[in-house]
Amino acid sequence: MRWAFGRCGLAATAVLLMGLAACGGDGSSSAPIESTTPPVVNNVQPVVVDYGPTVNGQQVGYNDALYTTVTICMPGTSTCQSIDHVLVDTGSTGLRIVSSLVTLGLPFTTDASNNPIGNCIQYVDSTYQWGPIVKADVQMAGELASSVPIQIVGASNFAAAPAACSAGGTPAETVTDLGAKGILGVGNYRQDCGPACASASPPAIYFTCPTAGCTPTEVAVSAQLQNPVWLFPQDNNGLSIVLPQIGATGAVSVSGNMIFGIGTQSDNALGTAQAQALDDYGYFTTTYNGVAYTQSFIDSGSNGLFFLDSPTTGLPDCASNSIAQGFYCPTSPVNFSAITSGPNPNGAGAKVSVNVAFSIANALTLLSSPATAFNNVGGDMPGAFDWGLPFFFGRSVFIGIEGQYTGTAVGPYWAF
Amino acid sequence: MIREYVTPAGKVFGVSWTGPTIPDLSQLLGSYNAEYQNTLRAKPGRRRVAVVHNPDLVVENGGHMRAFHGRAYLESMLPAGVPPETVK
Repeated sequence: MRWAFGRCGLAATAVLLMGLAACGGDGSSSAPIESTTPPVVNNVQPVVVDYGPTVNGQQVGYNDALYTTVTICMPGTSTCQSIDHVLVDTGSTGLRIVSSLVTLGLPFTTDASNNPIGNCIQYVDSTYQWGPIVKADVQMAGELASSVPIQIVGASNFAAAPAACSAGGTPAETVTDLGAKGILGVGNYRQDCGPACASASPPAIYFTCPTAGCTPTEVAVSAQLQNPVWLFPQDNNGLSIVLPQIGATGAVSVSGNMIFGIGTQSDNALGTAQAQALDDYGYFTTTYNGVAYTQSFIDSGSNGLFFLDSPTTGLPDCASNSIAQGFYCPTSPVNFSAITSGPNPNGAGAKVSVNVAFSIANALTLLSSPATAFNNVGGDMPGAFDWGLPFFFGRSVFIGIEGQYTGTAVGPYWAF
Repeated sequence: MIREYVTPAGKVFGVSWTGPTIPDLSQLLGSYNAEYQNTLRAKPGRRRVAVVHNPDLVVENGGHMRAFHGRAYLESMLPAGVPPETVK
């Protein structure tokens, strides 16, 4: 860290006004001791990149959004409903469904005082989703996760978003806002928050909501939003997303699969994929032009390859106030090469490195075309790499879940 | 964790943040929050990055669930000889 003029030690709640006065203030899938063989169930869940859900006759999706259909049920019953166009997001954890689509009377979860629990997720673009935690059985392909805490987004029969969730932000709680009917967070973690939200001083993510109003509260790890995959009885150590390659001008739709489990069935072996462990924050390293960027991540919920900035890449930014603002707009496609790396998740710790070649084309041209799936749209993310959905085309990308084993490899890791 | 960067005259010219949640940018950015929000509104799609590079105001907010980071500064208030990379 370099400091120009010293610093002020300030808590996260301090009020700082820029421009004003300063400082005022399980692990045995292949083990021989296994005495029973898990049942072979259908572990292949179709996914699609297309124009998104329809609202009032208009398709409200956006480029490079990956969707699937999720079935939710009253816990322990066959009373179910299927919801299409749920965003497949390896950058978050937990299932969130827009409230207007939910016809089941799913039960609220409550704290020790019988008050309902609310959840807040904030995104870097200053949008947020707020709503109660309910329990549902979650079905995908032949897999069933029982009594899973999920979030109902923007529920009308629940307390309004507390200021600690909404301050400075904008709600993204409708199908039109989201370009999706919900978000399926199937990232590298079991829960959206984990031990931090079970501690005595939790962040503003979980709230207890008596009639007097919602306040941040600690919530046991098991009662937090869960990655449903790790709660499947089998094929629960991770997943892979398999999408075909597409051409340089994009595609109007792309069909592929999300396959549950890694190395648990004949269809989900790691094969030649190179596994790279993540650090405590879910990051790995991407090296470009000799510089190591340690805050890199893999995210099917990002609709581009977001990396570095215009001065570093030499790529011009698209014009402000164009539909491609925030993306790169080179006059002709530019080829790049980078190296992803991380420790081998088998515990030996040897560094694993993989070369990645990619291309960035003019996003304004691409986004103005009829296509909606592109492998070559990119944009700014200063000092870091966000390997978004364009990275997934033409690959099998594996997501190893924390604490879950693939042979001797333990998550969180990713592989491709 | 939030850091602020201050001119010799005592004015904040930049802030940066890291943590498991995103700080309240309406407080951090003060009167500049509206410009930041309005610029973001023009952008389509879902992203794990929010970058605004306006003529004076620069805001970069990135990361993902459990790990967020970002910075903001005013070009016009950078002290002489202090590059923008100082705010990190």
